Amino acid sequence: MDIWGQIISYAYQYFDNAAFLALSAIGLILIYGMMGVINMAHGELMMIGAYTATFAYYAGVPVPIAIIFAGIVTGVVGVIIERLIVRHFYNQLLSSLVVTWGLSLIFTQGMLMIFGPSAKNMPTPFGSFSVGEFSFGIYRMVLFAVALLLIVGLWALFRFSSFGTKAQAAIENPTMAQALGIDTRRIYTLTFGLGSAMGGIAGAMFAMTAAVSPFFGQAYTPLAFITVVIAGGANVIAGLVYAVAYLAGIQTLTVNVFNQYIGYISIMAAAFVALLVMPTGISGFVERRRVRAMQR
Amino acid sequence: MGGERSLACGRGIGLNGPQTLGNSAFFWVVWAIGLALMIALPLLASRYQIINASNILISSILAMSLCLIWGYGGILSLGQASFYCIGGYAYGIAGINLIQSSGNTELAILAGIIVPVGFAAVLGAMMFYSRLQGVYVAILTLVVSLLLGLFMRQTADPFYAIGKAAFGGMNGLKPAGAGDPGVPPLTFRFAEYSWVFDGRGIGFYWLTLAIVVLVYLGLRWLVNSSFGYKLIACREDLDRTETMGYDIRLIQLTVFCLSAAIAGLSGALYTAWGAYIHPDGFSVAPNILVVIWVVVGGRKDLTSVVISTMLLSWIALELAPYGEVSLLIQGLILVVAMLIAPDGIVAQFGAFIGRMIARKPRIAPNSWKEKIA
Amino acid sequence: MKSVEQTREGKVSILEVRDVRKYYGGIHALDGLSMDIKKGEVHCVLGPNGAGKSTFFKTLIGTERPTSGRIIYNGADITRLPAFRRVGLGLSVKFQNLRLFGDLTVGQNLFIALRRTHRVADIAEQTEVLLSRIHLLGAENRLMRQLSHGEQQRVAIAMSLATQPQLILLDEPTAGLSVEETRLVADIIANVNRHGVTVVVIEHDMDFIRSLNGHVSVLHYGRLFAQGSFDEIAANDDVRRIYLGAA
Repeated sequence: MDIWGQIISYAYQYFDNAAFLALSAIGLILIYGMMGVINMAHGELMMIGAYTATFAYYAGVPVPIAIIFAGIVTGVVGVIIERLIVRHFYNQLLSSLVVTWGLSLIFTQGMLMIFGPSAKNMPTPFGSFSVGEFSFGIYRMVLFAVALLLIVGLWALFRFSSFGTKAQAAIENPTMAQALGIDTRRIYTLTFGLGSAMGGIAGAMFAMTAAVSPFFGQAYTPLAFITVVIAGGANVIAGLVYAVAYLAGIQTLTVNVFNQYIGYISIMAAAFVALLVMPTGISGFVERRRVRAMQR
Repeated sequence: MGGERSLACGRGIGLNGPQTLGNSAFFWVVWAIGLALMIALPLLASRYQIINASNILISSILAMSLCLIWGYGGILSLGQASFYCIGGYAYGIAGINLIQSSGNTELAILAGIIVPVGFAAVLGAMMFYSRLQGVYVAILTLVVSLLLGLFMRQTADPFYAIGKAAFGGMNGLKPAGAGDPGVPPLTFRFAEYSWVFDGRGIGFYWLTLAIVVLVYLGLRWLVNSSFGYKLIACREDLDRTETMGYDIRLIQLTVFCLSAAIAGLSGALYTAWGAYIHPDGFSVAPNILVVIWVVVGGRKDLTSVVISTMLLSWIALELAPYGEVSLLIQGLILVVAMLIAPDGIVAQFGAFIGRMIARKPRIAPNSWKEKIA
Repeated sequence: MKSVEQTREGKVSILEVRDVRKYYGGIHALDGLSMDIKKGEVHCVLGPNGAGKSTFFKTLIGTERPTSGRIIYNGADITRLPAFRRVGLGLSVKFQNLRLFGDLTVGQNLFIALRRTHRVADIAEQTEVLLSRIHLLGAENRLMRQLSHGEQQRVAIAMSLATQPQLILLDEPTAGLSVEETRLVADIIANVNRHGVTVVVIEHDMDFIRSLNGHVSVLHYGRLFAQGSFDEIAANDDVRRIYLGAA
């Protein structure tokens, strides 16, 4: 019966959209939430990750290792960016935004010079399954699983590791953290590297679903920025999860009723509505509610 | 008496004032010499160079629009090119439709200004009346620009047409039917006289130069006026400005719309110049170029921004034959400028010259600390 | 000063604060505060650090919205009005952390403060009037951030007077001032009060509060803890206890 096929199709699209948003935003929101920097070059880090994975793949490296390798390379690039440039713009939200935007231009054009505009492709693994007359790519669900894995991993890192504790201290009260002997600059560098690595991994994952070109990242950043803006920076993980769940729902609904473009417009409208209700983003809202509930 | 007193308060009169660098007689002499040279440029340069110079002048109008809202109003719009493009499309659409019936383009230019203003009014009202600031405005303006580009790219279907003008998708604006006219050049008509300013002509260059001068002088007057002070107060501290009784939402919306009008005018001129407008204008590269011009010049000073826009556009032209290197170098210039001269290379240089001439230490009005919204 | 307290009962309230709460997450900066401010009085607000005094002012002027409760000004509910409308109705504020435009000159700062209620032609004269009142005549062209803290404090007070208010909120107007400057501020307050302007002051300096000779309210944990004349408050053991407890 095709009703099942239809229902599964909607669910599949929902998780596909959610994976898209979560993967492209997770590194970005980590850096924004922890350091108050919106990294406009995030899409280009994804692009570097995609190129790295593609080249590794064609050099005969197995896919999972290629992805991890992409994460390491972009992580290192992220650390270099932080050390050389971003470091000088902490606490200057708009300046850091502009300077990283300049970096994104450098990366895009640099890649264009080195590799040219022609796109590279990686095959999509795993094939597909079908329910009724609907056919579904298995890899899309793998994307969702990886997104979930990264979110849980991030949560565990902050919950259980000493890095997480130190990082939280550095964010809540940098002067106090320094007084306690925490090297806040090192924490910031590592956080930026970690966020970049997550972008690289996301880029590598997407490389198997889309053509890889120097403009690869620009397909992901607009929605990633919206996700981050409505998620807010107060509680990275909760904000991301709620924002993704909300936006993916809107997108699935409107894309099915109208078309892809109306889907984008609706996300934009949904972002406006969310910001009207919660001017500090979802996570600021959640944080207040949580703390208030604890007080009762 | 009144004039003396207001000077005594450290306030400017007319075109001069603390909100702009260069208020001395010396500055205006140099300014006049520069203007004279630019008027005389057609005598010195080739036809091809004049055509490019016209485009550079159009760019400097766009740069001034961002300088106004970001440098003076404290609102960073990362989607400034979108107003430029909307203005361009509006001029083109109105021009194609009206050129045969009316024989002139005054209304088309007006459309190129009013349509972006209407668009900015809606977007701005949503943002400023819900009190969004800083990074939120920056991201939303950029995303709106990218979405508009996305929309214009998929308008190749003949369904997307207004009268005789078809949006044309990736091919850019074009006539809908075979017999319909293309994007017209600037055409003014008064009684039985009519003047046509073709984008490749010297007349168009002079006309654009005149518009640049008018916009520049107009903005200098504005930023040194009472409204300019309110604008700067908003940039420095929104809450404090509001608690002095000013409706900051209205001030921000007004300046946002004014800036869209200037950007739209510049876009209309661009479309008239090239008889062409394309959805790529909404994409990342044009938006970032405007930001680069303004940052490198010094966002808190109009003159610096105009100078840097001219220099950078000229560099870009010289580098154009080498392809990607051009944008790469512009990106490098931006990053280096932010690191070594956060207040702008031209503005810091200008302040240095000012100190040399005054021979006494003076604080440049552009030494503001960055305000985090 | 018993007389102040006796006549207070019959006076009209210019500002009525009704059960105002302001929660920041779990922190209850204001926790059911109710207070009356009478027309034409000088009203001092005391309280240990963290008692919610500055938050109280911010909810009055409108830069913070209370979580619940009502604020009534001259009989009209202003709880939901944006700050600029409240200023238009005659409220005015000097923030604790001054918030001047540091890179503008003194004259330009005052210009911004004066421009809404004055014609450009009158501003120069008004600037001189204000500067002479804060004993800073001739300082128009000095850059704000190059002034001493005491001078900045005085300019901030002048800016709060510039909007022709009926009710002025001064958050710690004597912080960082010398004895002489403090006396000057007390004179300014007495002078504007004599012209019918209601003044609400947050202060720590007890000598200064005594010299203002007004009504005193004590905040503690976001609530009204005690009120009365200065002598009554000074004699109140509970008030002494919370201050010592906080110190």
